[in-house]
Amino acid sequence: MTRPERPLILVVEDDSDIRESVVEVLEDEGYRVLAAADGRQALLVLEGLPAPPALILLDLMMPIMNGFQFREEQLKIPALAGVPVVVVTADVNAKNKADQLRAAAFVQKPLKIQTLLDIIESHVARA
Amino acid sequence: MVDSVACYERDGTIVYVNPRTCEIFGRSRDALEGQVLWLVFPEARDNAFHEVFEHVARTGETRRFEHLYPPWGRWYDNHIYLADERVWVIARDITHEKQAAQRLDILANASRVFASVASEARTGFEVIARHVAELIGDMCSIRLLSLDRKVFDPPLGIWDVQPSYREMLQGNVSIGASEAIGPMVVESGKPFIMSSIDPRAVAERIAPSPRRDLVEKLGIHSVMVVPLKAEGGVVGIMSVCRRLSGTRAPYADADLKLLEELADRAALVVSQWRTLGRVEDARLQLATITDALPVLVSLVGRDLRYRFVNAMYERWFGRRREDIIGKSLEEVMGRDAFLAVEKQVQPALAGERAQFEVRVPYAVAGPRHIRSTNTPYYLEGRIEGYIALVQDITVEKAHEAQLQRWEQLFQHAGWGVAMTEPITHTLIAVNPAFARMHGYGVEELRGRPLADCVAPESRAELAQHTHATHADGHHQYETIHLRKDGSRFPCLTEASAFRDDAGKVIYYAANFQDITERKRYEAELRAAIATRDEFLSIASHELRTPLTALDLQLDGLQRAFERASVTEDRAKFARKVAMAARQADRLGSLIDGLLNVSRLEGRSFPLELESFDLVGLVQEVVQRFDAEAERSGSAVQLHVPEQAPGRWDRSRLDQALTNLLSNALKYGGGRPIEIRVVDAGERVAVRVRDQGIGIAREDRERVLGRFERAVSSSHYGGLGLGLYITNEIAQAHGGSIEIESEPGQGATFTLSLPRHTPEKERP
Repeated sequence: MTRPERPLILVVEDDSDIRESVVEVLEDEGYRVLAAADGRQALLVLEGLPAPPALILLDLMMPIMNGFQFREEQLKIPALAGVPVVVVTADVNAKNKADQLRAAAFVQKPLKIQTLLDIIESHVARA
Repeated sequence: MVDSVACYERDGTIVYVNPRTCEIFGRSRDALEGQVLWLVFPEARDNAFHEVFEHVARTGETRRFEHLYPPWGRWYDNHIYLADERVWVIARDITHEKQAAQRLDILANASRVFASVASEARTGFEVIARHVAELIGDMCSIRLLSLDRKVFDPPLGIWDVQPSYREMLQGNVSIGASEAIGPMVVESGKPFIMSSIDPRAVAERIAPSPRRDLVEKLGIHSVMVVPLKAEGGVVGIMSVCRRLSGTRAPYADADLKLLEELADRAALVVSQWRTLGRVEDARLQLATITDALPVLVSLVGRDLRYRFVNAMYERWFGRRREDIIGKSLEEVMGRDAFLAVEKQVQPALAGERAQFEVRVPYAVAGPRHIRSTNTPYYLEGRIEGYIALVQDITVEKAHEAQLQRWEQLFQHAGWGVAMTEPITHTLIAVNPAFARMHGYGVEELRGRPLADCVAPESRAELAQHTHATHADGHHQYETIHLRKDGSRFPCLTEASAFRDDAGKVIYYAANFQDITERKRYEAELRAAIATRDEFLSIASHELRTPLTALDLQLDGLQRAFERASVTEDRAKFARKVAMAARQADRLGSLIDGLLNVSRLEGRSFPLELESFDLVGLVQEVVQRFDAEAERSGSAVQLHVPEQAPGRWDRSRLDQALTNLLSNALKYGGGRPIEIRVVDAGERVAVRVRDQGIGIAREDRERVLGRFERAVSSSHYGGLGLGLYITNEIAQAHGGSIEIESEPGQGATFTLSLPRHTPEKERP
């Protein structure tokens, strides 16, 4: 479990069960993982980081600050604007939403771990 | 007057004549005495006088006789006797007596002849003409003036004693004395006579040039034309003439008198004939007029037998009118029909004009509805019967009945119906429903413009719709209508234009439907559809969330098995299995919730009421959440009285409290949660207060409401089915849920319940 590089991934998801599961899976895969329950928490977490994460997994429907609002805020901050965002949503129009948000990719809920990992890997490697 | 006295020798030699005889003979005594009579007057030799003279001279018998001396046209009463061997002739001119008697004979005879022909009209005049021609002329013609009195009609009768002339005259009806003299006689009313004249002169006098030769050929030497006077005026002329070829002397005044008398008698016939003609004309007119009428016209006698019927009777009863007249009503119309009208005809026979409508089962024409007007028929002051005018109103009656049905439909229709005038658009007729829906009385609306019933802001629109109705003949539209009290309602109108044969709109008719209800249903339907969509969206999100977590955990388990030794990760496995189990629970309760929602939607929400202590239930629920409260970091503080007994559905309230507490823990932000039970007499309240993220004001009511009023799915923050169900449960108990909250300030949910749930609170 000791890799030379450990890319950082921020998981933004309001449902604690999902959030915990995803965090666990990603950590198992050797990623460094930070989690937030909504957009505002996510912004707070990002502010506290010395360097931006390699990727953000973003849920869309959340209380307090939803995924759309978060994305808007993220794009305003030059240091964060370039961080690829993978939208994770139950919305049937996931692709549409992802396009709207100019997301790097999207994953449809319920999600399969392998799919999620493949997408994350391809975007992290590129970064 | 002195008699003529003459004395002759037996051979006729004149011995003596007295002055009167000279006068008669037209000679002087000297010229006569000594002469033989038969030599002086040769024409006397072949005469009856000569015969008797010879007889007396021969036998010595005395003779007395009357005779006509044609050359002079005079009658003599002769007394001839022998005395002293000489023949004495004493003669008295009895021409006048003779003529008078003859005239009486002629006239009497003519009267008889004329009377016998009067009824035969046209052919009768031929007989009259013939009679007159034979009496006093060689030829006679009778001509009447045309009805406009301007020209003469062709001769009614014309006769000549000579067959050859007769044929010529009858074949050439224009010949006669009428052309020139006729109008003069008609004009003056006086007779005309020309006698002993040159036929050529006659021709010139009486005929215009084209026919003059023909008239001249007739060789007329005497003409008489007399007026036919009838009905107080001259109606025609009768003319007679004598020809050179005939045996008669030129006309004398006496002939004129006779002709005038004959003409008077002929005129009587004309008059009679004309009267008959008029009667016949009247009869024909009556028949023509009554036959043209589209009604049954009859004259019925007191004996209830037909005296007169028009053509309609023939059509109705299928027999000729000759076959109806004289027959009884019963015979013609059939017994049943007769019984139906028998009583109704009595008033007319009693002198009273009567009108009635009755259904008559005619034997031939079938059952018909008739309207009969019976008018008494008086003759010389006595009621002789009645005149019946019978109209067939069967179709009319059927229409009337139909119309009545339509009228009833119109009057009792649930929809408003109105007719408007095409130019002013004023209401011609409205039904009660129309008046009712606009808050008016029917009479109030008649004559008002339809626009009065339409909201002012919709009136411009109304004009467009009317235009469309005019153009398309039919148009359906929705407008806002205005009641008398100023309130408005949406109205669906279906209008049609009705046109006459020329295509001109005579009126518009429309039905109006108050669609307030429909609009509400539509809104409700739209809301229900939105609710369903929202519900499905929320439900799918709610269901997918634990499913996702469950999936991830199971996937993780599988991967852990694949890559690591089981013993190594015991604790990890235990955690994953526990989490998977939790997700399965979540899914289970979500499905329960969905089933509840479906039941709520179906309006079947039976409460199983029992008496229990609410405080006990609250404590039980809080206890159940101990582990979760610990995990969320929120401490639950309980403030309850000793007890709060009441009658409610225990499991429903358990569900409601569970929802409230689970929400508080979810959004409590890890800060303390306070639960308070307030027992306030008739009502009991449970207040759950958290200090979490709170709810925006506009969302407060919505989170409790139905899904279409809940936060939109993109802003959905997990305020799921729970609150909705909780609200429904509260309402089923006759209670409510209230929310006090500000964003970021936490939220307080108060479940308020009556202590004793009213039975059958919900329909």
